[in-house]
Amino acid sequence: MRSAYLYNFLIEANIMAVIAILLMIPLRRFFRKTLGNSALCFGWLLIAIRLLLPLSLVNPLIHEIRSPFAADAGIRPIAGQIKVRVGDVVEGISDMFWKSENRPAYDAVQRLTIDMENANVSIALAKIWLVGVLLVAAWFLFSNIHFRMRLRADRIEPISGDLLEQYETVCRQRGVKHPLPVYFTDPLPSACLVGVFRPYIALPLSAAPQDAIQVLTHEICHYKNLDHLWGILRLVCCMLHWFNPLVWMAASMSRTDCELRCDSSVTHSMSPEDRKSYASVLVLAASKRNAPGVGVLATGMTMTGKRLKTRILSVVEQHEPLHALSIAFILLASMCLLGAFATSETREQLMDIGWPMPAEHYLTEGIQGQTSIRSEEEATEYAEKLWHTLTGSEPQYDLQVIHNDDMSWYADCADESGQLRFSTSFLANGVVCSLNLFTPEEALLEGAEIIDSQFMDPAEMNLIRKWAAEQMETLNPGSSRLVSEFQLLLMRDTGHTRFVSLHADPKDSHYDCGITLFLQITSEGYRLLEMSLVGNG
Amino acid sequence: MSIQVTEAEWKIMEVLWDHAPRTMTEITAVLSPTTGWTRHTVITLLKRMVEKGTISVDDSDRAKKYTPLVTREEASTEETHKFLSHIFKGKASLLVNQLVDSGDLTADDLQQILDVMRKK
Repeated sequence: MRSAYLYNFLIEANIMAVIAILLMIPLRRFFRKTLGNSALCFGWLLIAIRLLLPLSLVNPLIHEIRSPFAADAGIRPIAGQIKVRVGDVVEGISDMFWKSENRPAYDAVQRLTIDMENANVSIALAKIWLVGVLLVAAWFLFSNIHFRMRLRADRIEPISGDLLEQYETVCRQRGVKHPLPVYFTDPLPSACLVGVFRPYIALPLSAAPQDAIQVLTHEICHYKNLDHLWGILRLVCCMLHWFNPLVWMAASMSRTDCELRCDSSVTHSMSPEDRKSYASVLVLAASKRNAPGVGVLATGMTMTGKRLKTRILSVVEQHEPLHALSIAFILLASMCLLGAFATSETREQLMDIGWPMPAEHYLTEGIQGQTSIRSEEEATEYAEKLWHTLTGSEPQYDLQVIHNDDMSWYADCADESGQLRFSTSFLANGVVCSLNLFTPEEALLEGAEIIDSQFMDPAEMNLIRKWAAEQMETLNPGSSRLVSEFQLLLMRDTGHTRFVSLHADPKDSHYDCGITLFLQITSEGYRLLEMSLVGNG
Repeated sequence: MSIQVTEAEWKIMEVLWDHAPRTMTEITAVLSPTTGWTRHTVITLLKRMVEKGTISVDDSDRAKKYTPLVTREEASTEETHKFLSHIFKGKASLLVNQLVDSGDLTADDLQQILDVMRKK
């Protein structure tokens, strides 16, 4: 997988999530009562979805804000834009060092430029990201194992008697068909719902009997709201985006909102006196710290400081949210989530750019296309023109055109016996990537009397070079400035005719590519049989 | 040596400080009406407390008898130290100021606090 795809996902997800998280902060502060805790929790879920899904939907408008840099469609999303701009800055720094004749600094920046071009820098950063993911994952794993082992060691016994009967009644009322196991545990600062696949409730042994059922009702609400699964989503978000402190903050804030949502559910039909009693339980729990941290897959009633105050007020001053506003918020947030995923260009927009085949990155980006081919008819017409360029005549056979997935075109034609006579591939902007003209004389190459040679008369070589350069300028204008002189690879003499293979290296030696020609020397002159832009950038 | 007594174990210590030695049955009879604890719960807690060294067990008779090994004052001192470091970051003066400001401090209270500070 190219590191560009990872960067596109991480950068886009974090930009969108940061905007959403910053919007959630004032919403929680000023609109909690009107929106309700459930709507806020839904908002956090949408942010988590954006952070976790590497999805990119088509957006016809993205083209308006995306510059024409980076013709490589793989990096055209934000990673490519950043890469181009960082490249510009590095080039500016390089020029500055050159002008100030600071050779060591200039050389260092040049090495950095080469590493950036060869993706060494991006690969190194990707490895650093991966190490971070693994370290955070290891920390989460250790924290959870340690917490679970401690709970297991401190377990006393399952609840029984009156408390068990009351608990089972609450489970039935709340729609929990199979009551979760509940274990008295000591010491335990506050009750918690523990585990994901086989959850259970740990109840402090020191909980007063009259408070225990309220506490258990709270934990049942967590279970009904799937908060034990929510915990895993939070962990994965923090793992993947460990470098973003706002994601960690969001995980903590979403946890608070989940607690408040459960408080609302528990106290919904309570009398004011009962709500105050419940609030007392929260305050008592607050006097004991050591609640499970954000890395632990367990709920916890303990909150202190400002959050405790918010919680107490929320419980005591029970407010019904405005349902219409909550629904409007949920709908609007869902639409925003869709928009947050819409970061890809349409196929037509990519065709305008002339999205090149990856293998010819250097050459095809450097060669300016002369046209815009958007339909099969236009592609057929173009292929016919190429045939005419090679043969000087109109096509003798019908051309078949195929539009490839990478937006390039392929055309060929066969004779009556099905033998391939001509084939070509070209981009949407007209850059010709390959040409093949199959002639009967090529059958002579299978004969036994062929003389191969890597030497040619210099004068004739110069003529062929000049001719080859002209052919290339006809097919791909501007290609000659990207490659060096054509060199002889092989000449094959069949006795009746000669075939010559030529290759031109790119002028920029960082790229392993070039142009290869195969031509026939006839009595009338030279005949191009094959041309291809080869190698990779 | 640090004395670790959990909130639940403190209830058992209170029973034993009132009167010791006591059997498990006697302790359960005292605590069960207010806590709802079963015999199994009390047995488990007593076992842990024996392992921690906060109580001792005499199993010479048919029914084991339990005796506290730490006094109420020793346990209270430890809890106060924990409270100070937890709430006031170990600064007893902050606690004193808090109590003085709230008007909750009597002369006896002040003396007790000073004793704690000296032992610390």
